Amino acid sequence: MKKQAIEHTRLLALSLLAGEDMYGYQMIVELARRSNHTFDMKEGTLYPVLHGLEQEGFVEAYRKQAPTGRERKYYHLTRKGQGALQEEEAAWKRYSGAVNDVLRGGAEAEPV
Amino acid sequence: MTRGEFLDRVLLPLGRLTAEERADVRRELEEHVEDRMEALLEMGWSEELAESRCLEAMGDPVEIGREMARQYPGPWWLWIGRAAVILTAVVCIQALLGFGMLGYAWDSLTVRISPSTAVSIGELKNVEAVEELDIRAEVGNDVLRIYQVSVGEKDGQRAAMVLACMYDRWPFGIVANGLRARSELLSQRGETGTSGGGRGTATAQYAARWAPVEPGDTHVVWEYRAIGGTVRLEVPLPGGEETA
Repeated sequence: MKKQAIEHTRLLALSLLAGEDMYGYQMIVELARRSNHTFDMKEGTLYPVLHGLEQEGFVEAYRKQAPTGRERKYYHLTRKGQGALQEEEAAWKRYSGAVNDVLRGGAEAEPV
Repeated sequence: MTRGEFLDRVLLPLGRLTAEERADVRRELEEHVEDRMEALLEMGWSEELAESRCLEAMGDPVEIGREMARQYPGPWWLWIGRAAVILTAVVCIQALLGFGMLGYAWDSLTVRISPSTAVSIGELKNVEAVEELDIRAEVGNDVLRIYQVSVGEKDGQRAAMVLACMYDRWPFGIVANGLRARSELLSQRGETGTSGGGRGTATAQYAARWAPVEPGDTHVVWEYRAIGGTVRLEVPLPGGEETA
């Protein structure tokens, strides 16, 4: 379960960065907003994921002044990262589609 | 737990990261806590409660540190690193074997622990007595050691044979060459044997010399001509004064 949670975080992080460059705290806030607080992840666990993505060359980090006036570490999705996002997104759609199929099957089977 | 303690725990398993990488991890997490705290303070939380809530929201510092450690080093240089270690080991072994250095290291150890007695002046007949000795003298950076004396018959006359070795003061160090050529054994009357034996490597030198002895002789003298001067070591004959 934990591994899957981390895999999800990878996909979510890549997906968030597809829109714009962000820093860690900003990503957490944005994730909570977009998911209507569904993802109650421990905030610190985002950073190992981001550093892993950076090691793999999927994101690049740089420091820039945030709108708050403070300098923050921003992450930028690379071309390689965009490819990874597409792959992970497709894998996730296959997975969630399969889960939906099973659920639908269960619902249809119930009245019988 | 304070913010500092939390960050310390995260960094604990990150020993193999560079100092710069560790500082980067710490700074980034610190900034996150700072941003989260600011939001809570604006909502009217007290500083103490806000910090405690922030750290709670961050999660388990040990787990964050462990997960972070797994991201470093990246798989590509981990494999290059492993390959480099193996390659270095192979090259070192090849080099040691190639230059005979393993043999030299072995010589260096045996000469100081158990010097070889397979060195002689040729045949010493009718051996009366053999005695192990341990007489040492420092000669520059080297140690000259007398380790055996025997009394018997050489070329029809009574003679004493002495074995000596030489090695560097430090294990595996290089020893001065030519112990055999630079040494002589003298009787109490200054007579010396005409021949000697010996062998040596870069780390261990052995020599055997002989000298005629007469009844009543108590000792012989090993003379080693070093560059800075001659070293003389008195070697007692087996049985002390009762050699006659």
